[in-house]
Amino acid sequence: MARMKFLCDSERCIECNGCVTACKNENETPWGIQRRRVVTLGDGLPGEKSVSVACMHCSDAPCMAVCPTDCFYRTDEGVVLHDKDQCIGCGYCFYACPFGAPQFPQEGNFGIRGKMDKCTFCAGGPEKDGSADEHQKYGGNRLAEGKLPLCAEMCSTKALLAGDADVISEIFRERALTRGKGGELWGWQQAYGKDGAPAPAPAKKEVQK
Amino acid sequence: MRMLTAMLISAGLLAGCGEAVQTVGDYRGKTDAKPYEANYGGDKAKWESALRTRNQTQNEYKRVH
Repeated sequence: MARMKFLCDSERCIECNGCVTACKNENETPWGIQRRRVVTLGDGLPGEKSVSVACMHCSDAPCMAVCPTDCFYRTDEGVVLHDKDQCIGCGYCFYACPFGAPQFPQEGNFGIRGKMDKCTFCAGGPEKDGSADEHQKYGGNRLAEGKLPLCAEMCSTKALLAGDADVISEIFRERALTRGKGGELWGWQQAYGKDGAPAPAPAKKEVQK
Repeated sequence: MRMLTAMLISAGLLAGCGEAVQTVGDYRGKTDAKPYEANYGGDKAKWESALRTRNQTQNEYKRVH
């Protein structure tokens, strides 16, 4: 098996935030923790694009490089995970991550930063697989059940793909070849007219008085 | 003497150009079990096969046609 990766197809993402909801539900993350979020560029303008972002499980992860307690590890499948018992909540990984993936719960009345929390690719953490401890600290472990991350599996438009990098890139390649690009995309001309110009408004019917 | 000083200075300056080896430290947390151990009885091939099937459910060109 190659490496597990996420791939978000910005042509398909409709900013429904279903992935965000699915993630929160599966992992029961506390208030304020967003392991996954949807980022929209050019919001409200024709041709706006949205992408669902979480930990990208980097092959050369900067969070791993900067961690002073070496609490990160990479599984054989390429999933970057961490041991919360080892984490001191320093926040270095947050500054190092280009995707803003590490999240820190605000604990106590004075907003003390808690231990880091991030997307686990629904692979749990270094506790007994499927145990209550694992679920409490890291959330669900779907990978051990032979399933893929819930965010991708329940994506309504299948914009978010997760799994073996070779397989999902092949799915995306086939999709991109079939649908074409730019004005060839289904629905583009109906919505925006040729070459991105607004479609002419339908002729108004005269109202009989 | 001047030669020696020049050599020492250039050696000192060149030392700044060197790149220290930077390696990620060894993981110091608890060990994690393999994902195919708990529910697949250690059968990696069976687990991979399940994931491959699951992967293809994301491909609607195969699912629909």
